[in-house]
This record gives sequence, C-alpha cells and structure tokens, in this order.
Amino acid sequence: MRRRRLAPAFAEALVDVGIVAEVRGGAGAGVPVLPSSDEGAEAAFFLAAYFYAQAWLVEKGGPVAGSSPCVFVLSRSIRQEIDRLSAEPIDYFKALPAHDVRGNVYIATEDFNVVAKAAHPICGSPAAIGTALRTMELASSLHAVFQPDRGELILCRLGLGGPTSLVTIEFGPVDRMQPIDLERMVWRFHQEFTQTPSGTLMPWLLAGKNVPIQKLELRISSMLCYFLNSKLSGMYVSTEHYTPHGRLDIKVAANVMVPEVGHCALELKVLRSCLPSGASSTSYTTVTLQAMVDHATDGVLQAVNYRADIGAGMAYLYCFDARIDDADQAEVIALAAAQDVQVRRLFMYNSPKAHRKAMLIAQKAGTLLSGQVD
Amino acid sequence: MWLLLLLDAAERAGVTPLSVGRLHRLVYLANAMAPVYDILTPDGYILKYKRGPFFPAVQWDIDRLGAQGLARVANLQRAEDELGWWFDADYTLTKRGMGAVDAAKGLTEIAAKGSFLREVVKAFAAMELPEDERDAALLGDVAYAKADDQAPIDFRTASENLTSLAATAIAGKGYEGHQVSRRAEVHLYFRYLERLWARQSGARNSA
Repeated sequence: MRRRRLAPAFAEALVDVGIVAEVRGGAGAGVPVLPSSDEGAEAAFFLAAYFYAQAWLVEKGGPVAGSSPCVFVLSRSIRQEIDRLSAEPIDYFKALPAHDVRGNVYIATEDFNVVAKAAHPICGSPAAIGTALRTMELASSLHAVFQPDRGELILCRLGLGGPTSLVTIEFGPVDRMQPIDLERMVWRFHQEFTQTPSGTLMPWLLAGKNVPIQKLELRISSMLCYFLNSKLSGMYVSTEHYTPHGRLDIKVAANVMVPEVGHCALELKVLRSCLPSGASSTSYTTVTLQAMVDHATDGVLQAVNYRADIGAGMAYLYCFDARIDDADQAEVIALAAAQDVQVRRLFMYNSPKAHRKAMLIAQKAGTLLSGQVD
Repeated sequence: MWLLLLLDAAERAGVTPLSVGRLHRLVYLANAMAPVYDILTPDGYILKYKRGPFFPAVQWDIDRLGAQGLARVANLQRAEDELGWWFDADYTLTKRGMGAVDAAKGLTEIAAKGSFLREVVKAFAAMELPEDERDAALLGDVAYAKADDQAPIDFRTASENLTSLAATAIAGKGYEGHQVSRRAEVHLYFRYLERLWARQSGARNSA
C-alpha cells in the first residue's frame, strides 16, 4: 500500500492559529539567546548572575558598603545537590532582587530558574567563600562571586584555582550604538578573554607551541554573546542563529544599533598555525597559511550570506588570530572590501611578554595593535 | 546514550527525578522533534496509549541503566487505578552516569545530540505551568492529540513527522520576519503546548 505523504500544510492545519499568533507575538521573548551546549551553558550562567547582581544593585541604589560577598554555583544536578547540601530552594529568585543574598552560597541552574541557598554559615569574604566551596565539594564547579560592596562579579570558569575575571557591573540605559561602539566592545572582550593565555577563556592548549584549545570558536561565540549582552543590559545579542545558509555566529539586534545600521552580523573565525590532533593532550598537527586564507575567505562569504539572510545593515568577519605570525591576509582584506564586509583581526599572543613587546613596538611606530580600536 | 543524555539534561534543568510518565513523554517529544535539529529519530513508532506515550524499549533501557549503576531508580511501586494496573518509579542520573556522559561528549555526534536534548528539556522546564500540569500539557502535541486511542503514531521519517512539521509551522517566518533558529523552533513549540494547555484548562474550568 502506498504510504500517505504528509505535507507541511497538513501539520499547519492541525495547530491552533490563535495560539500560534500569541506565541509568535511574544517577539521571541523566552527563547534563549545561547545554545544548550557546555559552552552556551557557561555563558548563560554568567549572564544570569550578571543580570541578577545588576538588578540587586539597582534595588539597593548602588553598591552597599560593608556587604559580604555571595556566590552562585552552576549545578550539574541541582535537585540532587539540594538534598546533598540540605539547601533551601528559593521560589521566584530571579524576580526577587530584594532578596538578601549577602554572605550566602547558592546553587543554580544555568538560567537561574532553579536556585537554592546552601545551609552554610555566612561567608564574610571571598576567601571564606572559597573555603565554603571546598567544604561543600563544589570547588571544581563553575561559579560567580558577587561583591555587593564593590558592584563587581568574579567569574570563575573552572572553579577554584582556575582563571578568574573581574567584571564591573554597569547600569543605565544603553544608547544605540554606532558600529565603532560595537567594535570597541569586541576589542574589550578580546583584551579580557582571548588576547593573552591568562585571558578568561584560557584559549591555549599549548601556548608555547601556538596550539589553541579545541572548539575555541564555539567558546568565543558563547562568551562574546554573554559579554555583549551584559554590557548592553539586555538580551540583544544571540549566538548560533540559524539561517538558510548556515549558522551565524553572532547577531546583534537592530534595536541596540543606530537606525541606519539595523542588525549586525558577526562571523567569527579562529586562525591557527597548529591544531590539536586529539591523539594525546600534547599532540598537534600544523596548518598551512593558505588553509587559513581559505578559512577566512569562507568567513567573508558566509558573512555576506548571513547579512542578506537576516536583513542586516552590516557584516563583520572577526578573525581571532592564533597563528604564529601577526600578519594580515591581503587576499581576505581585498575580498572583504569588494563585498563590503568589515574584517577585524584580533591577534592572540602566546605570552604576556609577547603582548607587551607588541604594544611597545606599536607605540614606537605610532600605530595600534591589529584590530585595536582607540 | 540517548537516554543517558536526556537524564543528564533533566538533571541540569532541575526537573528530576523523572517519573515514568515524564520520562516517556520527554523521550516522545525529543524523538518527534529530532528532525528540527537534523538528527535521526531514534524510535519513531508508538501506539497511542491511555496513560500517555510509552516506549517498551526505553523502559527496558532505563532499567538496564539502573542495573549498570548509571541511573538510580527509586520509589518503584505498583498501583491500580481506573485504568488498571500500572507502575511508577523515579529516575535520576548517578555520578557514574554523569561521568559516562562527560566521556561520551568528546564525540562530536554525541555532543550534538546532547545539545539538542538539553534544549528540549530546557524548553520543558521553562513552561510556566504548575509542576503537575506540565506533564499533562505535553499530551497536547499535535500528533499525539490527533491520533485515536491505540492507533499508531509513526514519525520515523521527517516528511511524516507532524510534530516537527508543526514546530516549523508555528515558528513560521519568525518573529522578526526572517528565518528563525532551530532553537527557537523547539522553544516556541513548547510555548505553544503551554498556551494550549492553559486555554484548554480555562475552558474546562469554566464549563
């Protein structure tokens, strides 16, 4: 018997059009801006912590002197940890910025939809929080320490002993950005996260041999999404935006850009000289210069497609450059210029010393580092 | 692995322990929505059952995971109600199970499936309904709701999969007039089920 083929129209006929209109009418509210990958979950958690801390400070009228810090820990299995830590689930936590968080240890899901306060004495300092996390066997968990007296967050991706990043919580309405404002933000992200081996992303597997970590592009896009949204105080930037031509890395919504720009499409590429081979933690293979030209060329063409797909006014190709030599790719720049794509190459130094040396050379020459915005 | 990844997703989203009913309903919707993420549907044939979706093979697998120490089974009990004899249990992922998931995620294909399943469970966790109504709301799935009792629901191929087709239709051209992301398709479909349940509940209460 011939099987009946179901057309999409049949499925469409089965749904309630009134409810569909309601769902679509939400303007996408509630659709997470970050994917549910490991990388996305990390960035989503930092974003949730940032927005909570920001709302808390707004509620209090700014930093509160003498306040003890608190910590939010990303839980892998929150219901089990609630039992293990005798933690107290807090209903509507996200909606209650007046909650007195000072000195407490919280475990939370990546979006703060489930938050629980661990049963532990008040922590009076970041050091006391570290001790508490060790006691509770949470030392290796990703966490964010909120310092209400300073209006700051300390982000710890790999738990205690890992790299940390100090973030100042910012307030106030966001002015619509010119493209140069967006470029400044991305540059600032690069300075904090990827420019040197100790950047928050810890981008190198073997810095001395110029081998970046695996999945670096995904990590960069997730954390850049977190970073931009935190600076913009809202969910205006999304990542892994699917279009008919593939996956756009970063989309900046038109409502934070000046009207004549509209949406911005940011395609991200990592340029490498070496690639971890996966055979062992120290093995790697080399990549030719031409392969990276091809890689970046593809990035330009992707940016062109995505710009059209999302109706963006501008398209950028951001190359996070982990190659050995800090050198422009003339072919890529020429193609990008012809296609009206903005190319920015952000060089990743394999040591702080190499970064300092490059800065000194640039200062003497009266120039800027690659991709730097003054 | 599908089941372990789903349990992991449920742990992360804070919707554990999974009852038998919730487990099978989440498996059903995850299987049905897999084409949205270009993932092959692992088990795409089911008979509409009076208690909601139930996959005998999945039940076998979850019990086996329990025996292997990868999942924890608690509160196993038998009960009889107006529909006859039945059983229930609560499932969580053990530390060993989490370790197995972490080890497997090194494989690109597994990581992709894991991300998809986390998205499905996250969308479920985000439904703004009382805890006991969320599971019931899942039965509003277009394919399940339209099928007759005991009738087969076949979604082995994407072209016959009403759920994924409906998810695409609901997302439409998108809230911004452009192509919507597959992440949005998943979340908007669950939002649709949430609103559908709320409307039907309102109708039931006013009747």
